[in-house]
Amino acid sequence: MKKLNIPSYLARTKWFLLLIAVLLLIVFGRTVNSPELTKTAIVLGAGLDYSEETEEFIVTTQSVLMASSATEGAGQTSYNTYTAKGKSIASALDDISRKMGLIVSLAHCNVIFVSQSILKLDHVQLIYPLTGMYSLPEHAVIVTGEKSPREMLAVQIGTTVSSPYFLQLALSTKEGTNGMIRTNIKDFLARSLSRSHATAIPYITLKELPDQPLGQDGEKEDNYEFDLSSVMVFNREKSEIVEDKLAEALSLYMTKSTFGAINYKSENGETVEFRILNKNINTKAEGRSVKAEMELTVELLDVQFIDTSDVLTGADKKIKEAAAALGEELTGILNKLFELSKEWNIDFLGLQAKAYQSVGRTLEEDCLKTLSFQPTVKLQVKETA
Amino acid sequence: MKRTRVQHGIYKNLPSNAIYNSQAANVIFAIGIAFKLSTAPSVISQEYGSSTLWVYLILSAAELILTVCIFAFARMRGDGLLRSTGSVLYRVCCGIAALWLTAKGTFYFCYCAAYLAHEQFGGVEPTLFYLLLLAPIIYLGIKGSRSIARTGEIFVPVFFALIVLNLIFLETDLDIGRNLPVFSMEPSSFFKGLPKYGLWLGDALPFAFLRIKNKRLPYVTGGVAVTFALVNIIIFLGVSIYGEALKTVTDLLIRIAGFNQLSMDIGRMEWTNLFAVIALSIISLSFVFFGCTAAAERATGYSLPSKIIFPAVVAITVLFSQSSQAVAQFAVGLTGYILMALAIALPLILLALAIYTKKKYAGLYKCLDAEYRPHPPLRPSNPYSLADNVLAGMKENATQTQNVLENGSLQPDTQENGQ
Repeated sequence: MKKLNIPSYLARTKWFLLLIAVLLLIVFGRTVNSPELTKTAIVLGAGLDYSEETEEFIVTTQSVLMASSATEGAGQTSYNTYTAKGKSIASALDDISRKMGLIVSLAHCNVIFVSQSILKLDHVQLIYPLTGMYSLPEHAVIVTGEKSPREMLAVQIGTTVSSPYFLQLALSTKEGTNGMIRTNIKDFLARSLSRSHATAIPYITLKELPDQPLGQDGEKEDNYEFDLSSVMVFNREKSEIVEDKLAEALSLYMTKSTFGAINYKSENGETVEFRILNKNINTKAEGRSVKAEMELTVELLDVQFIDTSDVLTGADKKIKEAAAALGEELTGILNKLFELSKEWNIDFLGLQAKAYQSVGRTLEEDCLKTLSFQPTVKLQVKETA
Repeated sequence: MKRTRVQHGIYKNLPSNAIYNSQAANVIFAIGIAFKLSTAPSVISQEYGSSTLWVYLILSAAELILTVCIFAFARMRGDGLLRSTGSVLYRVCCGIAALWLTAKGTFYFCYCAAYLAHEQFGGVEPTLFYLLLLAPIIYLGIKGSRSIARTGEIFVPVFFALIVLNLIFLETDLDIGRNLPVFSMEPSSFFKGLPKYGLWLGDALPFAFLRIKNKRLPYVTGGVAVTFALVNIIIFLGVSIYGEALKTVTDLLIRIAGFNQLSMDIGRMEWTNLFAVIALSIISLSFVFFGCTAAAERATGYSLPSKIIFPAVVAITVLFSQSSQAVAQFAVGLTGYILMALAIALPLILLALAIYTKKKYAGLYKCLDAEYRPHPPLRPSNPYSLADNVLAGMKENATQTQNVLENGSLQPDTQENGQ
């Protein structure tokens, strides 16, 4: 009788493999405490602050909590903001977990509020644990403002009770115009570690809504609006605020996607509004000379204060002249931004990083003042019906 | 060597240790993606910064030459030839290869386990995670090349599609200029530091112990070309996206999937490439394990010790070392230079030895694998009953009589019989 080779038979049979898998899954399932969704606080936005006096991190999180279907008021959503201090970000987050009785998860956190004091710390050590151990998405946007991260997270916006949710929507739909810049975690770190060691993030100012929204119980109080038209440019040593037209030109230069409208006002007060359809920017360095060519494809949106009885279109000479003048104006503003970056010694235009690509390793550190910058902005008006 | 074409669907008729070229292409893709795109970019970027792509291009060129040597050795049936001649040098080389593959397997496993256990499955007990990851690797490795090849054949096309789709839907701010300058350091330091990354060379060595059967298309050439192109494209994109921040990216392949434009609508997409990394790592590590057992068998005549030692070394290292990250770091120190030297020396020595032996034992080489050559087809002849019940010794006479009666000669009718 043929002798059965048991090890060989076992190795061949799929049942053996299945048995091993089942055993492993049972052991795995019974011994590992995997985080359950009902025990997890899904963080929408987090705030990072640093106290130089106490050398402590102040971490704030805003989580969304859904009422369980078994409880009263099922389907109701609440936004909870918690703050904790710690010698590290991890210990502060741990403290928030204890306060909430839930496991804090940053896996769906799309907005990070930072204070100016925390930006003076090492940027890699600031971000790396969050993207690594806490699974913070790298496309989460990073913002700062006149108030502390805790205050900005807790504020109630007129259109939504969650400020991170508002920012996420606003920055993704209106990026690139009105000074609205969207810098995500990945870009923040990439620019910060480049030869320029500088970047720009939105600087938010809070304004109380002049007309508070009305509810069934009357007027709702303490609603604010975020003004996103300013930008903070910074490196590890210092930071400055860029506003108005300067911020608008900077956002056009730095952002990948550009939505919304740009405005031209002549000396005579004639106003032409263009909608940006497409943007193409080409930045090249030849030695220490950096050239930036920006081409904006726009369409005519609105015309005011022009003395004419004709219906103006993008084909009209006046509109083309306005577009050319706006291009020159933006060129001038970019030149002014370069002068400011030299004056502040903050290379937020990323010129040293560009020059490094051309000059190579012989380019000395902190050489912004030795570089030249030649921007040109052209607007092409697309004719619309 | 004359290539014999085989048809699909006859896997069970393959001799042991033989796989099809299409299966080999899938395994090449698995080892190329899993080993070279997970942790290596971050490790290399820490030292080379903007030169990471150029380091990869140089390492890819070296890997290409080594892969050609290994496949030339496999195609000329070097393994069978050297085993049949009982070459002592071949046995020594195989012994070294077994130790080298054990070291490679251990370091690769540490890189893979360290990342997955600490970053992707942070809440899970690392010990259990290591054992869970090790189980399928051991199983596939012991089952052998055919199981690994068939597993690769099933999974690799799916993950190839996933990786390519993630690249198609990639949407993020990138600057291709971040790949410049070529030399972020002095060229002498640049080239001096390269051998430290020898761990990521010579991954195709286990193919030396396999027989490659050809299908109609040049799958191996295509597989190598696609894998090397994809690896370097992803590195090019990785540096363009992250620049100097690439050093903070612990697994490039997984992170790059996070910038899929669909993630804005349907949530995070990293899981797509996470599945790919886990599955391809299992296939690749089991292939290294198989290579180790095959090499040990040729060196000592037994494969069983290596089937115990390889998993034991890996398990002991990850379970009892202070941290798997520390073991992974150890691989890019002085150890890297040793691994690099062996990665280059082994394929070259094996190929040279096979060519020399082929010339020396040309007669033996000709009849190598004779049992696998197709026999001339058997043609059935028409039955006839004349010689029935005639003793064998008398049968010839009876046949001759029959021939004389039918043809008028002793020779059989050649036209009728077709002989």
